[in-house]
Amino acid sequence: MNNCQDYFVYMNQYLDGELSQQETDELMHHMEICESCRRRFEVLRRFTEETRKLDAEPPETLHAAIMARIRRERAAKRRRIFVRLGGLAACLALLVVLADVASPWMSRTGNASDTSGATTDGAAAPEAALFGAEGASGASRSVDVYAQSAPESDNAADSALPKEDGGETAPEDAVVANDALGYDHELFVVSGLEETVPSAFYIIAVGTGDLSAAFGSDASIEQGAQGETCVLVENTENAQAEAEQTLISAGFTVCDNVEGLPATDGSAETGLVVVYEHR
Amino acid sequence: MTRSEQDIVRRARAGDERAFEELVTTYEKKIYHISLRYTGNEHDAMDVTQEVFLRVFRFLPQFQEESRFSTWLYRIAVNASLDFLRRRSPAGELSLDDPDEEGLTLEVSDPRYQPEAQLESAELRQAICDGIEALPPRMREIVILRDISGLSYEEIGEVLGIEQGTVKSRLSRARSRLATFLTGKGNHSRKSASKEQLEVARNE
Repeated sequence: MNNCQDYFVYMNQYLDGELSQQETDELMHHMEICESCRRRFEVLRRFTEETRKLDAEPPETLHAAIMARIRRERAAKRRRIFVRLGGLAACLALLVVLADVASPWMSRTGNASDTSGATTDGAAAPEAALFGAEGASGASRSVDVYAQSAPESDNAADSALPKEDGGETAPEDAVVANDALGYDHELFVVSGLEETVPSAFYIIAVGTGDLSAAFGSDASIEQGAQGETCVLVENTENAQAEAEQTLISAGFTVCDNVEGLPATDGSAETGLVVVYEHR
Repeated sequence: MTRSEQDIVRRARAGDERAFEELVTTYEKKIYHISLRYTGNEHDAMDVTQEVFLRVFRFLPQFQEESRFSTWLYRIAVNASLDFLRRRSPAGELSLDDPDEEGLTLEVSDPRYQPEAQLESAELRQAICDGIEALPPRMREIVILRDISGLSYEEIGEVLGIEQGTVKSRLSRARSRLATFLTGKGNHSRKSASKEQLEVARNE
């Protein structure tokens, strides 16, 4: 036989829509004859109803605060990965360079120093170290090379070593740390760039700006699946270096430390420029 | 989990930030509400909410796609809120359970008067917020999951890792506690409240 304590539990279930029809009948019948239970039920019903009406409008800044925190974490994670994989990434960069012997990559550092009035020796030297002869034996010192070649994020790179909450000391992600020439040497991981036909080269850049103004209104510009913008560039002799210059002049930052690119085919008709928005 | 949410979660796991942001947008208000009722103030709720999504981001690779994302998310929310309380309270002082696990107190209403009826809805809601905050954490979270988040007994069981029988009894005890607190509150506002009943309210 049920006592009032059992019926109290029934009441709760009833208000939660979790009471069987039979048990509901029992409860209703009991309340007809038990005034205390009837009163208890009323109290329970009233405040449960009010509790369910409670609402909370979060502060307007909540969403931005959450995303900022995620981005710091993402950046800290990225720095941890490249510091650990520093050796491997240097080898990959080397492979790309060696595979495109005639590619403008090798002469890029020369072009960059020539065309950019703001060259500093400090900025040019690490690039030479990365792509020049020293790069070949530089695998073991690759961590140092990256630290050197990302002057703005120097401290962050060092302090991102094994700290779990590197996010707290990371610089603001909203601005990509590019050097004086407009290149970002921090590791950029590309995911989901699918190509059925290989391109002659790939340029990855970040920023916001007017790509059609930069490349011409009849340039081939498309939106990618993940919100990135793609520009097809005709593969002429200096196409890659010129495309990079175009991007930099238009205010974009070219990432020259990129992982996850598909294979290139130097004889292909076009090169691909992929632009991601500032993060 | 709907097919489309499954896709969003999958993309977020693969590193698609836009997909992750979609998840944030979908759930941020719900998580904030849980945190608010758990911690009792906006500032802490903001902190806890950010921490929740940070943990989601960090542990998403370990999330098993077959299970429901929301269940996993709410579990993180409960744990993060509890961790926050632990950090906030002096060491060792936080007791999770009602020491009086046994009885259901049914001193819910005195036949002489119905104080809860005296309170206007707004007043009552404030009293409810205070009451929820006064509950021991294990009781607090179950009321939150049921009446704030609207989870079923089954979902609550999954989130908290307890059986439905336990859900039922814990929820009943929690509400009984709340009811006692509230009628104590109601008494408080009346001059004729007995000293005994005030004592009960203060000890909650």
